[in-house]
Amino acid sequence: MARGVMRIGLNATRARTAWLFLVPSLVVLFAVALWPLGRTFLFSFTDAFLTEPDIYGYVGFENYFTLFEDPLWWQSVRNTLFFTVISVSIETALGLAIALLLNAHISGRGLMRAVILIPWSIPVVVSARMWQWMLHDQFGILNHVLKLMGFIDNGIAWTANPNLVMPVIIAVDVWITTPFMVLLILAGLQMLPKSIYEAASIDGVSEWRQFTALTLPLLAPSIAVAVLFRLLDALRMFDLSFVLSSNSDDTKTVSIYAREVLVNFQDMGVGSAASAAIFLMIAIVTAVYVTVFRLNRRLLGV
Amino acid sequence: MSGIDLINVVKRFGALTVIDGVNLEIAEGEFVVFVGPSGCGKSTLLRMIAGLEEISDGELRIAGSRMNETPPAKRNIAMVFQSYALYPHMNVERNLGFALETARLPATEIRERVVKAAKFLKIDHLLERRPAQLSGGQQQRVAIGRALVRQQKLFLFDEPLSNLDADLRMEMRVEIARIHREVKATTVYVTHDQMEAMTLADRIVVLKDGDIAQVGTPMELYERPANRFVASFIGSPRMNFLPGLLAREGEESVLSLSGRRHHLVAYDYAGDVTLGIRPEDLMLGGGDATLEAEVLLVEPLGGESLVHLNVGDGRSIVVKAQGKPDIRPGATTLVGWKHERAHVFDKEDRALLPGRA
Repeated sequence: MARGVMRIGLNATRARTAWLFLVPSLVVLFAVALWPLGRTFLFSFTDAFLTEPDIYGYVGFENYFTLFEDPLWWQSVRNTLFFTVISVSIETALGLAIALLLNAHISGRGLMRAVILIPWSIPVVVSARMWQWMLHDQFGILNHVLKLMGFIDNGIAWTANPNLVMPVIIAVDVWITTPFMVLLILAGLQMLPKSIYEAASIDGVSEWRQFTALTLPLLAPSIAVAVLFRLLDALRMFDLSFVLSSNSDDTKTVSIYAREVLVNFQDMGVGSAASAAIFLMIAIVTAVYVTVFRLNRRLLGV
Repeated sequence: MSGIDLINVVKRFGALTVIDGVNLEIAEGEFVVFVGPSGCGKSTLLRMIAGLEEISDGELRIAGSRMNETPPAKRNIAMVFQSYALYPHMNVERNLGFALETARLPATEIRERVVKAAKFLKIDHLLERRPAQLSGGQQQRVAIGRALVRQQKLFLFDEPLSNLDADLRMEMRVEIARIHREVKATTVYVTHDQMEAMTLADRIVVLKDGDIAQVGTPMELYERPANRFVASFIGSPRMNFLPGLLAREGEESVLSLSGRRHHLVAYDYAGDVTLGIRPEDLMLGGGDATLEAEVLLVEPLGGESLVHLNVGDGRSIVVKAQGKPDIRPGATTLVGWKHERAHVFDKEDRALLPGRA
C-alpha cells in the first residue's frame, strides 16, 4: 500500500517535470503557429483591409464565396497540384535511382555524395535567379549552347512562353530538390541489413527481384516520409514561380495568389480566406496520404 | 557427390593476406567445423566457399567441378548466417518459401516443403509471425528452416549460435546435430567456440592467421595436438604449460623441470621445451612426475573442482579434481601427472613425438 502511494507520487513528479520542460516550446508554438493561424481564420470572416486591420466587421462566409467564384483561384489550385504531382514524382524516381547508385560500392562515392548536395544547399531564390539568367532568351547560356549546336536559330523564351514556363519551373525544382530525396532515401538504404542480400543471392534470387521484393518494401517507409516532406513543400511553393515568372497566370500557385490578394490588393479578408483554404488543402492532402500509406502498410504487411 | 576441395586457396584484401594457401578435402556428408580465434580467417574461408568472397588464388571445387567463377546461386549451397538474415517484412512462411517462390516451384509444393521443414524444426505454430515477433532461438530455427527447404546437398553455417544465450546454444547444438544426422548434407560450420566444434564435428579444422594449424577428428586434436596453439585452443579449461629443458641421455631423454629431473622415453630433440598438461590429467598428491605447489584458489563446480596452484616463479596451473578436494588456499600440496599424458613442445611450439631414431 505504502509503496503504491510512493509510486504514484514519483510518477506525478515525473509528469510535472515533463510539463515543465514542455512549456517553453508550447509557448513558442502557440505564439508563432497557433495564434497567427487562429488570427488568419478570424480575419477570413471579416472585411478587414491591410491599411487599417483594426477596423473590421464580420461578413460570414462571403470572402470564401468571393474566393471560390474567382477562376484565377481555381487555376492556381490546378497549377499547384499539377506542379506538386509532377515534380514530386520525378524527384522521387530520380532520387531513388541516384540513391541506389550512390549506395553501390563504387570508387569516389564519398565525393559524389557531397557534390550531389550542392544544388539543395543553395537558397532557392539564388538558384531561381541563376536559372533565370541561364534561361534568358537573348543572353542565356542554354539558348547559346542550343544555337551553337544548331538545334535552334533564335533564342527560346523559356520563362515567357505559356507552354514552356511550367515545365521549366518543374525542371528547376527537380534540379534543386532531388538531392534532398537522394539524401533521405540513401539514409534508408543504409539501414537495410546487408546479410539479407547475401542470403538472397545464395538462394538464387535475381538482382531485380532482390530490388522489388526486398529493397522496395523495406525502403517504403523511408520513401514515404521523404515524399511527405516534399509534398508539403511543393504544395506551398512560392519562391520559384515568383522569381522565374512572377506575373504569369500559368504558373501562379496558391501561395502566390494569397500573397497577391493580401499585399497587392490589400484585401485581408479574401487573402485570409485563401490562406485558410491553403491550410485546409494541405491538411486534407496530408491526412489522405498518411491514411492511405498506413492502410497500404497493413495490407502489404510491411 | 558433393564434397568440397580447397586447393591452395588464397584470399587477399589489398596487401593483406587473410587466407594463406589452404588445402583441404571435405568428403560428402561430412560435418567439418572451422574453428579459431577471431581474425583467423574462418568466416572468410566459409564465405569463399559460398561465393560471397572472391577467391584471390587457388581453386575451389564442389562435387569435383571448379567453382571459383560460379555465382553463389549456382553452387547448390544453403547457408545460415550469424545474424540470421531473415527478411524482416515477410512472415515465417514466406521467409521459408521465398527461395522456392523465386525458383517458380508450384505453390502446393512450396507449401508442402515449408510445412515439413517447419514441423521438423518445431516452428509450425509460428508461420504467421514476422521475424521481429520471434525470440532469438526461434529466428535461428527459421534461418535453418530456410536452408532446409531448398534441399541442397551442401550446408554452410557461419557462427549460427553466437547470438544465443548459453541454454539455447546447447539446445540448438543438439538440434543441428540431429538435422545433420537426418539430412546427411555435407556441412561446413564456423565457430569460435571449441565446445561446439568438439561436439558437432566429424573433423575439426583449426585455423590460425589464415592458415590451417591442424585438421583432425575432435579426439585426435584433443589427444595429439600438433602444436601449442591447437593444444591451448582445444579443451577447457585450457592446457597448462610449463617451461623445461630436454636432454638426451643414452636410450632415454631427461626433462629438467623446476629443478627436478624426469626420465622420459627417447625424443630426437634436445633444448628448451614447453611441457603441456591438461587440467584433467593433473592429479593432486601423486603421479609419475610431481611438483610442489601452493594452493591459490579452489573453485568448486559441483561434481568437480578447479584448483589453482602456484608452482613457483609466479607460474600458476589449474587442476581439475573430482568432487571437492579437502585443501585450503595457502596449503602446500604435491601435483603430479603420468608421462604419457604430457605433451612436449619444441622451441617453435611444435609437438614432439618420441623419436625412434
